[in-house]
Amino acid sequence: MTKIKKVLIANRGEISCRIQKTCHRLGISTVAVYSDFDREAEHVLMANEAIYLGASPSSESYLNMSKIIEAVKQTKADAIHPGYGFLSENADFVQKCESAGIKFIGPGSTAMRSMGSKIEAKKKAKALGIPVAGSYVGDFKNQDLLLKEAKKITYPLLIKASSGGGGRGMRVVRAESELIEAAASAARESLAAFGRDDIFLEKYFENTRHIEIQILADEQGHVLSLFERECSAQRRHQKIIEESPSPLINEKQRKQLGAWATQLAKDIGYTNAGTVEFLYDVDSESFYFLEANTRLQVEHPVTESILGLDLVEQQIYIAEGKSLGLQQKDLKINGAAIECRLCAEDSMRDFGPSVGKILNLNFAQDYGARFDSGVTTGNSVGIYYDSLLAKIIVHAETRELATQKMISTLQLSRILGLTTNQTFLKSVLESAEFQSGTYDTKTVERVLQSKKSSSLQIVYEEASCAITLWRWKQRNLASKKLNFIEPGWRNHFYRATKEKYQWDETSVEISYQSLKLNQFEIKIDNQFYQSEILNISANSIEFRLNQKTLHYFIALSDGDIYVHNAEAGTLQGKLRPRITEAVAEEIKGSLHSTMPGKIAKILVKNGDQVKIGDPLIVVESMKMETQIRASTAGKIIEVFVKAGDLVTPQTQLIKIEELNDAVSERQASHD
Amino acid sequence: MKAYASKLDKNSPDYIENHKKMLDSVEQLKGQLQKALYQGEEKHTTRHQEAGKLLARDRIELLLDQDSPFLELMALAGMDQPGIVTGGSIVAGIGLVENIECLIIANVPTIRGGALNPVSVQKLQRLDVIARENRLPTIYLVESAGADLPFQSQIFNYGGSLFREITRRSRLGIPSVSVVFGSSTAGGAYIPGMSDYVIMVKNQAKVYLAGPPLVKMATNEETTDEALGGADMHSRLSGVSDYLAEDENHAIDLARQILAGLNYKKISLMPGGVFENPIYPAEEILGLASFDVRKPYEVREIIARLVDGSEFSEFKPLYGSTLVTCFAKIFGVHVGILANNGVLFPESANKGCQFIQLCNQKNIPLIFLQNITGFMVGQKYEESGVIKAGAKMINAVANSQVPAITIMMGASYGAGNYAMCGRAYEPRFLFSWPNARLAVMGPDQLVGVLGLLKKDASAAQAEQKLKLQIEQESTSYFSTSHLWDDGIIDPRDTRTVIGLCLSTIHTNKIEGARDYGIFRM
Repeated sequence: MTKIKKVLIANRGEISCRIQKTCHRLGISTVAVYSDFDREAEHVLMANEAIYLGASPSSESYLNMSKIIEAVKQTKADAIHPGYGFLSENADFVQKCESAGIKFIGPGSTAMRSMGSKIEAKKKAKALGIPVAGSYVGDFKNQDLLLKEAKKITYPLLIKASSGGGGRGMRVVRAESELIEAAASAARESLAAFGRDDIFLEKYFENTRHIEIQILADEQGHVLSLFERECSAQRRHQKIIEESPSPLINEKQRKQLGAWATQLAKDIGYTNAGTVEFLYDVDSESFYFLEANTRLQVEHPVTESILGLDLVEQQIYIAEGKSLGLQQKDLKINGAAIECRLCAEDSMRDFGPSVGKILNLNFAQDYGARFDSGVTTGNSVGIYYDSLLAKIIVHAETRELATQKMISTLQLSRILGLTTNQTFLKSVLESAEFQSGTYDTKTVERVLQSKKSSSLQIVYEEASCAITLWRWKQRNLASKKLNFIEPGWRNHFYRATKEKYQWDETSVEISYQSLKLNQFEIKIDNQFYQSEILNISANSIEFRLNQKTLHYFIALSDGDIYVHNAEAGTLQGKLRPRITEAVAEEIKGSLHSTMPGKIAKILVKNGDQVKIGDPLIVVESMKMETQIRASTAGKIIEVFVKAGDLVTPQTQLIKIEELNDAVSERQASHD
Repeated sequence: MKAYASKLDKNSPDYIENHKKMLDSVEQLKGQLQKALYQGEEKHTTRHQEAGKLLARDRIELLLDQDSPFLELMALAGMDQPGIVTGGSIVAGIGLVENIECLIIANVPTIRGGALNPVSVQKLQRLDVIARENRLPTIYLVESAGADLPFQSQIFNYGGSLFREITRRSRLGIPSVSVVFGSSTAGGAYIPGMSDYVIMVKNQAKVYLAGPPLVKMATNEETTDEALGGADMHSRLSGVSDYLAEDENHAIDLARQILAGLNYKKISLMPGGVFENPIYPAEEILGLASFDVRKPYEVREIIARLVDGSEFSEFKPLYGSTLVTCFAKIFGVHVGILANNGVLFPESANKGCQFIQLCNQKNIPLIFLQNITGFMVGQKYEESGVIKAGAKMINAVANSQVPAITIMMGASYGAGNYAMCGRAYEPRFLFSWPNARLAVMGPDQLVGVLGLLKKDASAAQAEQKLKLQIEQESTSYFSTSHLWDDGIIDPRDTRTVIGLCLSTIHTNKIEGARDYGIFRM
């Protein structure tokens, strides 16, 4: 048994920070690693030592095994903690560590290989009598065989990357015609994310819930079930809200799932922390073994909360060779815990990733929530890594209280400067499905649809006032000429100044006339208001609107506006420019990227004929692939980008010459 | 310096009554200004806007920096003149564009196609003077059918100065930018033609010497508006246009970009920073300044409501006391103020003369607060050489080289108008209060003089008619209609207007005349 005194965390962001906190608490020194992009990241700043790995793309930094092993040697660290993602489930890496004599905080390479391989784990599970859904593992290059096997499982089915996780490389295929392209794309995404392109097929269930069991296993052969987590709140097959205990299962089911999970771990000879995932088919009310994860999960804090345990601490003890000090009968679920993943993404745009700079971050600390965060004000969020900014975890006596606590915490926290899912998370928590505990993996999509149709007119109007007055004051403070005269002074008044804002689908036009310094007459939607600026700072405003006093935090980034108010929560909108810039002759038939990212693949070349919906270009961002499809039928005239190019949403990608009949068809519909 | 101790009794019946009368006259002014916002018949403005075009005033609003002050000039020019729409189909004023004080001049295309009448030309000529004297970059928002042809005899000949002045300013380094939104043909083509920068709006601008019908008549050539003088042609072929704008917004954005790139600097720095507001409210001016110009009042009470901290230092307070001369600051700018406090006596004129010399010596701008019924008359005063005294003051005003701003606060009669820097003595700016009266003498005196000369004229009716005519021709509205001032202002805005003008003045150099030492008078 060797005591670990120094740990290198081969990861970044919130998980590196979270692991370091435990290390520091236990008196263990930490070594962080970083890429160009992360030079000033939080995980680097809090570490006792930090080692530079390389350029920003993961392949050159956080996935670079030799550099990481080199870093361990250089710093004389006793162990590596891999966190999640990156190299955490890479058995080759574990093997490299083992042969270099470096302790890997996690399972051994052999156990990782058998448990981590979705194929092998399923075989083992089947052999142990654990229910497993139909699947196909095998040659993907043979398209005929693939189509035949797919038919056997029956559609719809799911394509998954064998070494994947977190929804990456995953595709739902509903019809035979989609299978080949989907398989190829999944393989590409898997290759980009995990360095391997092996994939497999399995049965896809329409209505499912996702339950997983956390296990801990020591080297002495003790395996504990730390009970379940429910992770059914998902978008793009990725979890955004997790909780423990699950409102779905009863004590008997809990015992059954726990028994299956520990059996599997014992059978494999698994050590350290791991998770066994089950799928619950709502229609048949039955559980199926899905896969096992050989790492610390993103959502591990909910388990920690209900058990009062620190899983990272346990991992370190196990790695040191200590025996688990706990027995299954000692473990009792205490209350309920919920975790929300705060991500840089745009819920309204298919949960696409967003980039930007965090201009104002303040977590509402007053309600006892735990914040596992890797960012702070001033940090940038780029295209290279996962979109997870922070996790918010709450714990309370009951699920209802925990839900309320989370809603308040989300409401009162502010993170301004880029698009996040903060308000969307709140909407999910507020939905009847979540509150009743009857939600499933499609609840998020349903919440999204209902959110799209709802409007927050009054809130948007107040927010528009806030931003108008705040901007007015900023201009006023910055003005250098004629600034001794009241802004907007006229000897011959013509009309009030207008500003236009766009909040989701709602546009707000506001006109204001400065009466005297800091006092205004404001008109919105033919309603007149008297308004006065009471207090102003670089990032906030307090003002009066008729009788109501309002306080808003504000951050601007180009034309994007981010505001936060205790009543409204965080809102994001756009300022429509006062003088709209005309774009010089927009090229007809041109396509732009829908998100910032990197060109992964170009599927067409000059002269190709395409029809509407044909995939043209694949853009990769934050490890997600998005296909840009033809919006018009015609001939490819020019491709403006090449694979590997970095693009923004404004980048023009491709130009298509419309077919004559497509043009005449459109003209006809105009007439 | 100590703040002036006001003796105002706000409860006195005089104050209350005068305040009411002045307020009424201000309300009347607001009403006239409201009417002057007219930009053409509704069917014209609607058609214009439906074509995606902006009204003249909206073009200005969009061009100005957001929240910029805007001092509109000569808004009531041409008021009540036959065949003229108030404003002369031109909207113009001074405001900030990209943080540069600019003169903005917009045709009103929705009134008779923006055609120019004699008032438009006079207004444009005065604006040329303002642009040159104050070195203001000028932005023309052009859309005009050209000369209103029935008026051609009053326009054509002297109207040529409008083009001459653009290029003379250009030579002095004062740029002009023309944004052509529509028609700018024949003579009008030389507004963009002479400008340093020209922007034309696609599918809207039409700039040619002769339109298709005239071309057909002259050479039998058949052509179209667009081919003959469209924005595209001028941007690609003729080079008359430097920038092709996609639409009106884009054109305005381009004009702002040009201003941003001018590297334009004020020659004199406006002292920035701290200043104190007057300690007495401007509102009280309405009760203090007599509505009836025959009624004297203490002008120091007015000065105390215009200057920083209500503080001013009087020069020669005990000598020639019917003219108050003092040094003070307005928004931190040193000014020398000459304000009438009764008729001008020889001593008052001598004092004014000496004070003007002092301001020239120290490069201090002058503010004339006019309320003058004239010089003192009578044998005693003629014997003491009142003409010589007046001549000295007129000499000093005429040859003064520091900028002056004149405010017509009440009466402006006879040679007093000249000595106190009336329009003919070229103050940089001249504004009137609504109660102001301007004539060779008061209507009573004038009618009286005529009566004396024509002893046999017994027809009281004719006398009454004449008196009415003189009264009507003496009003501030008659003055402003004939462009004898740069506009009528709310007396409560006087400090702001002076401040804006002072800042404008600082765009040019401020340097007094200094051919001799100060002559003691």
